[in-house]
Amino acid sequence: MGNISRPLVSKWSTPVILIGLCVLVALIAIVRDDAVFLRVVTVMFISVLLAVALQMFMGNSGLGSFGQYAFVAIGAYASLWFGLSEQQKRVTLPDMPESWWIHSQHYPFELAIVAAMIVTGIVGGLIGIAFVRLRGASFTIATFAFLIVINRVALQWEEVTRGSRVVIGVPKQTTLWIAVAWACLAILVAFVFKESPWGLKLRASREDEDAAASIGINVKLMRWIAWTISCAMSAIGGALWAYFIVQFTPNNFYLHETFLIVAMLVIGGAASVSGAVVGAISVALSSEFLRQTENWLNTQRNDGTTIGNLIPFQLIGFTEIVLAVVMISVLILRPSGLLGGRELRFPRGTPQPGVTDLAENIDE
Amino acid sequence: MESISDFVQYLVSSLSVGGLYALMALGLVIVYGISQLINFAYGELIMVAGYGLLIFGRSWLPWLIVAVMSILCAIIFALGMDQIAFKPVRNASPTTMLITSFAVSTLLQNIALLFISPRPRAPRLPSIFVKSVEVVGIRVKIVDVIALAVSIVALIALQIFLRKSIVGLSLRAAADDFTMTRLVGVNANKVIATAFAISGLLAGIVALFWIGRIGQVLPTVGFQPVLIAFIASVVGGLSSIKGAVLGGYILGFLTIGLQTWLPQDVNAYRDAIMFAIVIVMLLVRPEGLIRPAFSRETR
Amino acid sequence: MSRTRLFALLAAVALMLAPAAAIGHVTAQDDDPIILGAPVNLTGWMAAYDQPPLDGAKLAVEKINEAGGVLGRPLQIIEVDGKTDPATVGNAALEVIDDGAEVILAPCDFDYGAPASQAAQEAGMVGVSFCASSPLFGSATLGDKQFTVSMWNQTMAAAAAEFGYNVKEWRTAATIIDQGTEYTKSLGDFFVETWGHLGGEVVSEDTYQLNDMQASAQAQRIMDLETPPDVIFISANMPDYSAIIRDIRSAGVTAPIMGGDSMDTADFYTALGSELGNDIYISTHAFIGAEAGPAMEQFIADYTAKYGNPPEVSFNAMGWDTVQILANAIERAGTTDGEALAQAMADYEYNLLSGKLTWSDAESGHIPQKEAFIIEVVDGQPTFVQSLAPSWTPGL
Repeated sequence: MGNISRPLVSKWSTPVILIGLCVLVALIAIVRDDAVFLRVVTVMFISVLLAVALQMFMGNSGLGSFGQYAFVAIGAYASLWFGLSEQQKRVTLPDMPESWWIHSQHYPFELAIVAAMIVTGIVGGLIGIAFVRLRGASFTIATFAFLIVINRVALQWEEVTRGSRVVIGVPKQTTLWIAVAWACLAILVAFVFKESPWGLKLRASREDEDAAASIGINVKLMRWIAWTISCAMSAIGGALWAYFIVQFTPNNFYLHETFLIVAMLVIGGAASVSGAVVGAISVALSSEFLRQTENWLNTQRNDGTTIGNLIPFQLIGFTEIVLAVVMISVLILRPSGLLGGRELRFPRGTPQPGVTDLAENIDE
Repeated sequence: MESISDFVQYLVSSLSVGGLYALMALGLVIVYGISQLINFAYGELIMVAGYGLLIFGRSWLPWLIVAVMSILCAIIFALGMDQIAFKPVRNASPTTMLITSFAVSTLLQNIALLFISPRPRAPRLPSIFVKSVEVVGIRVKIVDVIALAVSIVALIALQIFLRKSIVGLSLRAAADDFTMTRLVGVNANKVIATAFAISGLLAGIVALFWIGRIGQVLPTVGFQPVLIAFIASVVGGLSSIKGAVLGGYILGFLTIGLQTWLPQDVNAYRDAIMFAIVIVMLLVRPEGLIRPAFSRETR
Repeated sequence: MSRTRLFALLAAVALMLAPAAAIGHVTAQDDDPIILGAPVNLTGWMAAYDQPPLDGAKLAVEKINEAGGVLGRPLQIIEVDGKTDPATVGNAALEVIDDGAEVILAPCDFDYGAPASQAAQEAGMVGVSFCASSPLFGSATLGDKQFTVSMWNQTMAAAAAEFGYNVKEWRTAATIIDQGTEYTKSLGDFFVETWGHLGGEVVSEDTYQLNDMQASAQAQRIMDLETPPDVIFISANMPDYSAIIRDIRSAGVTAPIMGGDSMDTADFYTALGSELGNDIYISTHAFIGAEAGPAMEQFIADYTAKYGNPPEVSFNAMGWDTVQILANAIERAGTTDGEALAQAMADYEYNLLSGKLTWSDAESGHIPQKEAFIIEVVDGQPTFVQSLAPSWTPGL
């Protein structure tokens, strides 16, 4: 891909813009000082992180994964194993035998996140050895099957997850700035990977797997590297979410959530990091906007105002419908997403040629 | 004596559940074989037919007419989803198509939630669904026998249709080599639409038996059949009609066998084990137990 | 990406932030309505559980306001959809608090109700769940101002066991327990525990996997018992309940069946019909019918007048009860201030559509001491048997 000749400043402007965008939204949230909005934005940054993690694998390899939330779940629960004191574990994970080594482990929040990331990275790496052999739809089905396996195991294995019971007693530790910081770090990692020799090789294999292999690229290895890093990054999202929502069950890491992140990535454009970020931010904020509009219209209707009288029935649930319709429209009308697979850059230097999108290129 | 009759009972139960599972898998495979699309929204076709039973069932119409109308609804929705959502992304990657079907599934579920009810609703059902007869000490549900018969008839009818009719021949040809079939002048859109119509028909039939079992219909009613169809067709062979049927029966025997003989606390992991088998199958034998006529790479 | 597109993007972000900001704070005044904030799930599967009590609650608000309100102020419910998503429920709770809510009405389930109650607790407000029956829903887990109007699962299971053992004089029980959710598992375990405490025997314990929709193997196991059990206790959710009972009844199992409150829905009775709908006993919150007393009769009449159809589930009555409790307690406390109101709430014996209720004090967890209602299904129709406060409940 022809970005060797481009000036360095232009290339690195992408993460600068994206991180700037994140910080800007965070600042707006701080300035607005609205508790609801602050929560929405914090969760949004976790989504940004997850979308970027998913992009790192899906965008560069061209393979679709529905299994990300399996790793988010592992990350969330692993962060409890490392982040809670023995005392807290007796409340939160009462079925965990005290003789287990993990029961005595207790690290500060940030270290617990890193530990969760390592554990998940190992699980993802091991599974990845098998998964990278699969192609196309087989790969996607396998990841989907893995999501279900993890969900069912987590629902039953009470020693490590509290089973289907809600996790309680987790302290709320994730703040807006912690979420922003990790999201920005993820953006940086994803961008560096994309531009690294590994990323370039993987993207070459996305365009034509056989051709890439024929010029000596170890496609499976490149895929495995991207997959494993992506799994580890997803774990961070799980840990941050766990310490923000503080009450959850394995069913909070399942299909609905998977759909949302995949939708964010597809709408923004899977082939670029900017697409993931813009997709996550725009879907999260417009969902919130739609939700507020929905509530406002329903209030108008209940109060019997002029606008309210025009609404024939209680408008509930149209947010999800709008999201699904937008997603289908994007897939049909602009399969490469809002950003068309391009990165956001300062308009200096030559425009980057040749970076095409996920949808157009996997199968040709 | 006791154990022999137990075993026969087990065979009967497994066969009848397996027949239903085979029908579920058939509807998924018929579309996959032609367009490489794993249609997540297949479950929502079952849901549509289920709500058909509920809505038309409120009228004075005899139940059989209601059932036929519900199946027609599923066929119409199948054709509609092909035309509106899948046709435009036909040349995109399998991944894009998969994501599209995921979105269609979410859309239809939410429409049902919003406009019908999030609560399970009980449609009018004839009492044949809960009748059973005892033959030489073995109790058989009448509806299970019907399900078994329908699955066999559907399989044979499908085979005859695929072998004897022009559309059927082009379907088979397309399933083997889609590009080549187009090159020799077969109307690809017509072929795929036919596959979707058959898929809708099967979903409608499945809905009768599935909703007849549960006695209620709700927006998420189609999800479990899709999962079952998934496992059955990956195990049996995603591109093979016989494979799908075989997979359905294997799954029927496994489900009831594991419930009968596996220790209760291990049984809680049954689904996890099944999906682990799916992953292993994809890795070691991606074409499934039964290979399609001209084995292609699954991608 | 050109400069204009970048700016367009930033403008879009700014636009998204703007409209929401217009909805500002509201401060309560003396004659303003007392706002009951309801961050409940109006969409998603939880809507099946949250909408019915909300309807009942709105009826109660209407009636109380007709009679002059509470402390001279009318009541008002502000509902914001939690979308069957715990994070959104939490957001919705903050939103209704922002809109001036003085009390929080929490969703019907611990997973989804806890984020709302937690927001209420943090804001120093009373939070009440209409019908969460998890033993976690109380002051021990959620804080000293949090309540649930429902009996806990212990009571529901113990009432079923006691009714079966003492009233029906059943001695042997078989169980089929759905392993998929905490509600079904704990209900089943509490039944087994109480059954054993009473001296009954559990002759067969079986599991069911969520969404299987068939129970051939379970039916076979029961048929294989040398003598059929006196009762089969089944713990599942809807629509699995419907599928299991249809399946085991049509397999020829005729023993009486008992189950928990999630059976108690109108469409379950329809699904059973007059052929299968016999010899089934349900331990639930209330009985919708004239036999339950004149107050219930009046409720049914008022509900039918407002909504055009009679109440479908006992959860309708739970919403009514919740608002009645709050009106009563706010009147006695003279304020909606969390501390005083929580004190007043715990310090009273209520006589509700859903039976008598007292709460233990905040230190011991706001344990609801409540009556369960036993309903028998006859010819596909629910009929009232009795209300029952179990004399022993596991773990309480």
